[in-house]
Amino acid sequence: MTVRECYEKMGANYDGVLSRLGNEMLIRKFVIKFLKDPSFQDLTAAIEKSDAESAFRAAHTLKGICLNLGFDNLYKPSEALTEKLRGGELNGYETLYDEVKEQYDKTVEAINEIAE
Amino acid sequence: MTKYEWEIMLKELQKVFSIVRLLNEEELRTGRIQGSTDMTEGCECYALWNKRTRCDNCISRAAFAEKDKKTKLEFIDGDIFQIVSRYIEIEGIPYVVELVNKLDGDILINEDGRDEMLKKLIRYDRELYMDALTGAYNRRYYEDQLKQTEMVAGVAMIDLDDFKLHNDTYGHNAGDLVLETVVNVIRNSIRRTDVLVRFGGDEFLLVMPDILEASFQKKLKQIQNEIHAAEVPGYSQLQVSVSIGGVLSTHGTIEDAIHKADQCMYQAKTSKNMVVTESDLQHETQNITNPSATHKYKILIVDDSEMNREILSSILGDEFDILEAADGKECISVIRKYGRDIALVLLDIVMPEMDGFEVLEFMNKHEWIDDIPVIMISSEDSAASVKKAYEMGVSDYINRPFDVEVVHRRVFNTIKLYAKQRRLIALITNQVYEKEKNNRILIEILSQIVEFRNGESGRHVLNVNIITGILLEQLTQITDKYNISWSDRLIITTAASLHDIGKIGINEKILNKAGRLTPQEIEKIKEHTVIGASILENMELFKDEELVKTAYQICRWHHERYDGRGYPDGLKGEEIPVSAQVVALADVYDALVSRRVYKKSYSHEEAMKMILGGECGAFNPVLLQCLTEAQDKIKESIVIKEENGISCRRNVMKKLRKYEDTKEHLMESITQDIQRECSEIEKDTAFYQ
Repeated sequence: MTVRECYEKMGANYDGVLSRLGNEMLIRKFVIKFLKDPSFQDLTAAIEKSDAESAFRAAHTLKGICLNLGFDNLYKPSEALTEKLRGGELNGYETLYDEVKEQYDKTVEAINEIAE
Repeated sequence: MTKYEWEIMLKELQKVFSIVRLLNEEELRTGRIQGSTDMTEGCECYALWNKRTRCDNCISRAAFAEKDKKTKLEFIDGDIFQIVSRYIEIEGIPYVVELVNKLDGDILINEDGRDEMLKKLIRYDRELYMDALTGAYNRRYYEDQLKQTEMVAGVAMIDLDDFKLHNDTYGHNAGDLVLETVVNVIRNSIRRTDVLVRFGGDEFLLVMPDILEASFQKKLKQIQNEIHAAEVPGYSQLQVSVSIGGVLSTHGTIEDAIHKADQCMYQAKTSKNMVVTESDLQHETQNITNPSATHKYKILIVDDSEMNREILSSILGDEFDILEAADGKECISVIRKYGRDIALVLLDIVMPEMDGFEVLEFMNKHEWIDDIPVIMISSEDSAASVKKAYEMGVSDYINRPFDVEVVHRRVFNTIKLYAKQRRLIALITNQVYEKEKNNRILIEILSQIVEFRNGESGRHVLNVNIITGILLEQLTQITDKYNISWSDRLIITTAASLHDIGKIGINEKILNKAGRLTPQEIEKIKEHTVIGASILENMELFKDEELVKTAYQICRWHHERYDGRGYPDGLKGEEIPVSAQVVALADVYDALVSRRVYKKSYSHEEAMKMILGGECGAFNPVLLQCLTEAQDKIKESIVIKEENGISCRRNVMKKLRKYEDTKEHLMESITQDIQRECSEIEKDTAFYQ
């Protein structure tokens, strides 16, 4: 599977990221590295612990990474979740978190195919 | 006019003009000729001229709008065309009729007139594209004619070293002469086909078409050497040098080549008066065994996401040394460790422990923000955050998602700006310091003369200097009461060397008398305070100088006592200027621990005991506190003549060096204002945004 196909599978725009980073090898390297990025796990753990501040930070980091890697599908819900958590309170985030989780799983699944 | 009338007229016109076109409103607006009105096929109006776009100076539209007649000349492929556009109405519908005639050389004007006209046209071109001062091409020429050109050529950026400083030091006239000199040198070294452009204020672009790499390098080297050797008329003391970056452009536009040449030039700037070409850079990157050969700027990336740090470091890692920090605290400790060696900080905002704003606050508090530029890299891009970041001193802001090209340019531009500024600071510091050094040498000579007459062998002045410096440092730490600035400290310490100059007016026999002095002799010696003060007072030219005023205070009042029982004026307490108070204490301490013809030397402990016990005068309690607290430092800093003669000279040298270091630090703080000014100028003239 090519990196382009991987992006298509997760529902993201490959051309955008290619024009910015300019190098398929580099993109592949970072995309695979995303599997090891702890932001999503940090987010989940923080929510479980009702730690609103850490949850906000983790969502924020996740959003930033998605923006850089051009994971548009995951960027959108994580951005919305970040804004929801910005106030420092854990209220009404559930739907958004579920959306983030859904897109995260989808993204990871797509990446796994090129990582192998 | 009726349609019929028009058709008759058209036939007449076609006898005279090579092309006659009737254009309606629609055609004039779109530029698309419909082809039904006359012999022209459907085409673009400008196809006639072999052009690819509409004419900027379209007169037909103007004629249509103004219901008038317009005329112009077009110069195409060496031929001159005359075009007349005239507004007409045919059966009530508005049109423009376009009449085109090719003008043959001989029918245009006679031979002389033609030459005259061509000359005028050429001169116009020349004036438009010439830099008035240097006669090189100007930036407009580059923008219009070179920027997008693709050719095989050597492309070099030539940047004058420290031009702003020459300009500020010697005036604009000198600056202009420098530029002219440089252009003359370059002109004499290049071929007629080469193009020299004044690219910015002190920056030139040289384009050498179809040159071989070896000749290109040789040429640049030659230009660098000849400029270094060149004399600026009327300013022989001025040494000009340039930093040159060159690339051989084999494909791509001149603009692309300039970007690369610029990077080489900035490499050259790290040591100035130097040529760096792209092949040098490649060579150096390959030369891993000797990494010190290339100086790489350090960049600190601060982001809590390893992922983001890694993306940035893979974008920048080839050209820069990358340091990383995962949060604000780590960031601070890395800055503490490397200080100004860090050329740039890329800073995230939302981070655990200590966020980006707190880092900025810290950097402001410690004045690092003036020396180390910061670029924000946060995805926190609300207008409020960005504004806050700018207010806290960040230089720039890079939006996410990162774009390789944008990251490169912003980082490079910021570093470039600050590198220039740092060089200026270093230069100014050195110059101010050099000047100050000469002052100190003269004062030193003067005080040595006095010492020599007193038979005190020169150490006393040095020691009073050192002790005064230490006491003042301690004093400023204890209290703000005296409001002593860095520069005050420097002045007082320097002036302290002069405390005994009045002894020049005292008879040597009395000064060096071994036995007990008579009351008359003591009175005589006391006069040295007033004599010294009057020497300084009589220096008409400089009496308002801070140094002279301070020296006056010290000379006159360094024998006053805090309890008012001193001489010559019996001043009491804070009536005595703090400068004189400090020197008085320093003087007494050193007199006690030194051997004199009339007394033995006391140990440090004895001396301290005597001073604190009030046996040697009455001093300001705050100063006694300073003396007590800093006694270890004083004890190890001063020079006491050892019986074996060699004394602790090495230690002194070390102390002196430390003293000089302190001064250097001070000089730097003095030059901060100049630096700010310079950086403003830099920002104004930066072309790359």
